[in-house]
Amino acid sequence: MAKNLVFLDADVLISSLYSSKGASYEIVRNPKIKKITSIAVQEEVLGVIERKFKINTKKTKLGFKNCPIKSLGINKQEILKKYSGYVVHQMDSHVIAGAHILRANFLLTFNTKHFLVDKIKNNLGIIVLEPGFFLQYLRSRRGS
Amino acid sequence: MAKKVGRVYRIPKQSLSFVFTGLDKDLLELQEEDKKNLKKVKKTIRDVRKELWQKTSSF
Repeated sequence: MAKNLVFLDADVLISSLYSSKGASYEIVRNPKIKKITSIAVQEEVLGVIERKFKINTKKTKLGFKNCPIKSLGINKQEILKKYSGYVVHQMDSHVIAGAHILRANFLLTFNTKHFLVDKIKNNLGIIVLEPGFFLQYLRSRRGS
Repeated sequence: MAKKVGRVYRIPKQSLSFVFTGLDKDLLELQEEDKKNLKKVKKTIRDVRKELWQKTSSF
């Protein structure tokens, strides 16, 4: 397992594209943070950008430059069976599935209330955090 | 961190940020910038996720 591999949820990627003054942008642009996301999350990001923002595709693609995108190779039924117990809403299951299948140590999202963070940490070994708290964690490790 | 002013100790507002939020002041500002922007797209993200979930059979 890669050290500190971070799975990015759609809201983090969207925020990084929208503003260069946020914690999400700091994470996405930092080459020392190993990041990953899934094809499904990428599709969500593109869908939101298409509807809501006037961000050109070049900038969108640059946003994904430092974040490899992987297929999970799992169908919806399997995702529901294995991962729906870790989320409040079923349709968030693919996010936790992505973090687990791609062997991430952290899942970064602003949607932490919809993930059962203690159960995820205990059973899957994945720490669910908001981006600012992940940066705080990195800072505390540098200080120790 | 605390400075004595007269008979009382004063703690700068920045230093209290971590105590109350778990984040240093600069990181709290970064986090708030993100949240401010995401307020505008929260519903769109849910709608797009719902549609993707309904139309996708394999991830």
